[in-house]
Amino acid sequence: MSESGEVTRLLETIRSGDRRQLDRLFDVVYGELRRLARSNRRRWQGNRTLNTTALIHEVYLKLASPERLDWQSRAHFFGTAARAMRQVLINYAERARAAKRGSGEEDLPLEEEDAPFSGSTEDALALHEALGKLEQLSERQCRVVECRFFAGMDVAETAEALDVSAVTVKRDWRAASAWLHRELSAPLPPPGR
Amino acid sequence: MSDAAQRWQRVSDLVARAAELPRDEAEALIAAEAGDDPGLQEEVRALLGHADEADAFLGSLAERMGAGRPLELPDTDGAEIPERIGPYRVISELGRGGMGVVYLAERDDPRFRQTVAIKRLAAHLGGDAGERRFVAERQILARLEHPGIARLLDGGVEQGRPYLAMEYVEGEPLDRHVAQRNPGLEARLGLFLQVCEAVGYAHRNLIVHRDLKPNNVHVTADGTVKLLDFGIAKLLDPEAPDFLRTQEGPESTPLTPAFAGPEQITGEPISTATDVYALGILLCILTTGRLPYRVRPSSRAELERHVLRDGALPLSRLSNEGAEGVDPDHPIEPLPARLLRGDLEAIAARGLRKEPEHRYASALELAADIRRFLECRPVHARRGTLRYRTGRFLRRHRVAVGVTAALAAVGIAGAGAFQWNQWRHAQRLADERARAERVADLLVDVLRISEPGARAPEDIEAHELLRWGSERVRRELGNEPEVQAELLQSIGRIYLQLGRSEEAAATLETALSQKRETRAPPLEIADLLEQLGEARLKQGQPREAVAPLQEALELRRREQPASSHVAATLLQLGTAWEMAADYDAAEPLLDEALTLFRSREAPDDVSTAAVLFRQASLRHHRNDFNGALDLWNQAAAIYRETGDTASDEYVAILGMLGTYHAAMRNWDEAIATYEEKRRVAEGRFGAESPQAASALYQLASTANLAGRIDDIGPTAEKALAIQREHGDPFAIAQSEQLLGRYHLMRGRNDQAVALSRSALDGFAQVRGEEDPVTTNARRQLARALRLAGRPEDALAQIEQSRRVLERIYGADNVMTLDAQVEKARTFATLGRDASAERLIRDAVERYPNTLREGHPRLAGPLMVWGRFLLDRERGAEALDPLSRAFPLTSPTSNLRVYTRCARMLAEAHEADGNPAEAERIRSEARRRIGEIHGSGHDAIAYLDGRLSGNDF
Repeated sequence: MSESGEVTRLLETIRSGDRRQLDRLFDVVYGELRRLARSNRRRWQGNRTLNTTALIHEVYLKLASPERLDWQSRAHFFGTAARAMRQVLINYAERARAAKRGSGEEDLPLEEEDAPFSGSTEDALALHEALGKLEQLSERQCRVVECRFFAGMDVAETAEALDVSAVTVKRDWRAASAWLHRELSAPLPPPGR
Repeated sequence: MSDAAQRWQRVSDLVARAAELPRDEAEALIAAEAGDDPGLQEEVRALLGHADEADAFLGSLAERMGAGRPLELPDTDGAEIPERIGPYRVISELGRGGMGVVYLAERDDPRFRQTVAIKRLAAHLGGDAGERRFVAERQILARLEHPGIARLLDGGVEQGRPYLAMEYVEGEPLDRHVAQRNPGLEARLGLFLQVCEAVGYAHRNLIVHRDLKPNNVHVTADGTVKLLDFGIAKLLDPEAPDFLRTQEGPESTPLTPAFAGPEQITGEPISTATDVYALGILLCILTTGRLPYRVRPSSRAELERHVLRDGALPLSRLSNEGAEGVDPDHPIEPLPARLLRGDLEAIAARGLRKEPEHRYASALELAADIRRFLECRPVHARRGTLRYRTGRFLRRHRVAVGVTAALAAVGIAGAGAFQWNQWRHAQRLADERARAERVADLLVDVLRISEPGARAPEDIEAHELLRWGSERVRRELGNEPEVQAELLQSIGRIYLQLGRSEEAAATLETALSQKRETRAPPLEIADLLEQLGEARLKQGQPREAVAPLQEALELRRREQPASSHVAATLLQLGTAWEMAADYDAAEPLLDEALTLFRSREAPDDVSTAAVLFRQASLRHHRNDFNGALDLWNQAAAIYRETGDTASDEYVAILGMLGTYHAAMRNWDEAIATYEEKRRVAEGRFGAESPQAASALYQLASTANLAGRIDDIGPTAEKALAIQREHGDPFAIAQSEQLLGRYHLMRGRNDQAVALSRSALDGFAQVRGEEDPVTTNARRQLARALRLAGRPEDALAQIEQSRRVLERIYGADNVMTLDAQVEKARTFATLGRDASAERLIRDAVERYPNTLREGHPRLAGPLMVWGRFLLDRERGAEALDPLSRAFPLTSPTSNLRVYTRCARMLAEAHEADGNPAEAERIRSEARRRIGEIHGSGHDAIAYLDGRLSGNDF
């Protein structure tokens, strides 16, 4: 089965209630995102950062058969892709940090070395860590941040992707973003509004 | 669930709810919900402090990391209104949106009181560097001074948050204005033009709005349009390294998705064409009240799918479907589809093309097409343009630095409002790449002036500008052969459109050799070869066009087998062979082109029609007139069905169909067809165009053939005047000959001599002496000279003419015999009657060797013979030739000939002593003429001897 067919089928299965397929979907989307991010590096040359929203859309158009999917399946796809994107960015950041330290025993393959990620590695890793903590406190809030932060989805789209109401997304975002700000900005700014 | 998670649930619930409330209510909520837990209260308060900054913080983090940024920046300003911002005292809140909050404020300075709108931005600038950049860019924006743009007056940074003070515009958003007043099409387009002009002004100053939407376009009470927030979107862009930098990547995420162009969604570079896209959406909303997509998008993803994949729908369809409008509270009444279909729809579609390089290059081009539409002139949206070529060039050579200087010079020469100093200033700030692109955009704007097929008065300037530009390109881009070639190709193309095919061919040849040297891709070479072929065809050198077209065909066959590209090249090559009169070479190429075009799924279109047209003229040249007529009619039908009547080919087809009708002596149809040709040509090329002149000439010529003398003079004179402007010697000579003939028929022999001589010189120059057209003109000059009382001069001319004709066509040829008859008349004038009589008898006997018995052409020589005899009082002898001639004439085919023949025959009967028969002939003629033209017609007066031959 072609990748595209597989993704569409996976999404249909997930839509009909079989959540176990989410991991498989993640693997496929993650692989494709990584591949694309590498091959697209020329496209973003001269630009400091990777356009993740565009990447995810490209992966979607490539992997899914849009005409066969209803909105909810698409939303699932983007939700999964947001997580996969987070993983792609974190992997790049970790490799970049490893390369900088010169700690790695293994030589980095060339294609990984000039991977498109050239953003702030420390920021990315700190965020990743913080999100890991947030996930312990509220998995849903972590997903909301992934959708909005890594995939650039708006409130309505995030709500669709995660099968929750828009009000929930708004509140989760408000609380989670405040919490992340506190985690990531030290020392604390003067309190009070 | 862990304890920590449970506690966090309470905390986050409280934080989320409290954050939406004003401060005192939030405090009350916290007290009520967490009154028993001071630790919880403290935690919630602390997080609320972070909530204020969180969005901006995550936004800038996302951009540093290259993650997608949250699209909808939530309100970070609370509901409270600040007392003051910078030196301004805040009066009230005007509104809020994605970018921040807008306040009405007053400058707190008693010396100059000024009411302003202050936009306090939700974004953060990220440190000192960010602030400095913000200030620098603000200064550039502050230079935008245009009545249609709300001025940026001031700005600053307060507590790390930027604010902008702008001219306060008292008006309402464009869509609301239209919804309330429901103006007609012209008024709506008038508003739209105002928007385009303001945006165009900014484009000329290298500033892109990036966030055009009805909310940013206000209409004041007196109907003036004011654009708000110009360039603000760019100002907010923390990643942009400097002002002129072309945007790429996530920082170009559009602020208002519904109006975003595809490149804003995918993070491709932003240019003036991005504003053009937004203008396309505005045009759509103004005319149909809707976004140009199938359904109203219910999510961002759906919208992006419409924009990126489906593309915009035609205006007329949007109007017909009448789906939900953009703003349900202020619905805009859609204009009827019939007003939108065609040109306006094409204009909108051109603005909304997915690929920026296929759109109008700037708002000014879009405005120019709207104006063309309002003036009912052909719009550029409906044809492939220069912009497409140069646009492609611009994209490919964004990095080329050396091009800038050459282009800047050309660009500035044309863009009058452009200010050099300002540009110089911006230039220092700019990075080379973006600069090249934008200045090249200007070049395109400038060069477009010279693009239209119609001959405009500024043509002279345009081609001088071109020559200058191409010299500079040659001189200054020697070390950039790729760029040079690309530019020369553009210039060659424009030369071609200006009808300067020689300059075009020379320029294109240089471009071609450079492209070969730099090993350009084969399809680019093919493009160039085809243009070169076209230039040579237009130069009238079809044989020289064959080689480049042959090579182009081979490239296309290899790269794009069996495509309509191949078909188009086949058509060109077939045309070249046909014009070179090698019909056997042309035929299989044209047949293959037709098969290829027809193998597409689409119905027949203009490309099919163009092939049919060529095949028709091929049949025509092979004397298969019925076959030709059939194909011409087929081609004409396609043009009419597709509505593409405003094309060169359709005009040419009308010309041919007219000629066929004329050849079949269907005068009324011929004249009607030529009249249509004139109308179409005037609409397509202008009333002073060569094509319009050609139609006029054909009308006059048909009038001549039909004997409708009065219709010849003014029409031929008008044609001649236009042709003299354009300087095509052949067309001029044709009209001079026709006009000379007209004067001959009116007895103005000296004028006839001058015109006929000039025509002869023209034909001799173009065609040479040994050409039937030239000899025919010489025969007319001979006749004019004879009638002007210079028979000796006439004799020399007619003998020369006759000799050439005899050599080319033989002694029995109709034209040779016509010349012999004319020579006989000259002898008669000179009093050499015997020679005259011998020549006429000989001619009359030999015509039937070529012409069948009863051919109308026989009437002429028979009448000359009859006249000769009548003038020598040999009326009885004249009876025989005139009785043979009379049945060959008719009042419908040529009234003049018929009436003259009737009068001479009547004279002959009288001379023969048979006045009754003479009267019978006259009354019969009076009756037939009267039936057609009425009894008061000049022909009857002439018949009865009340008018001389020169007056009829």
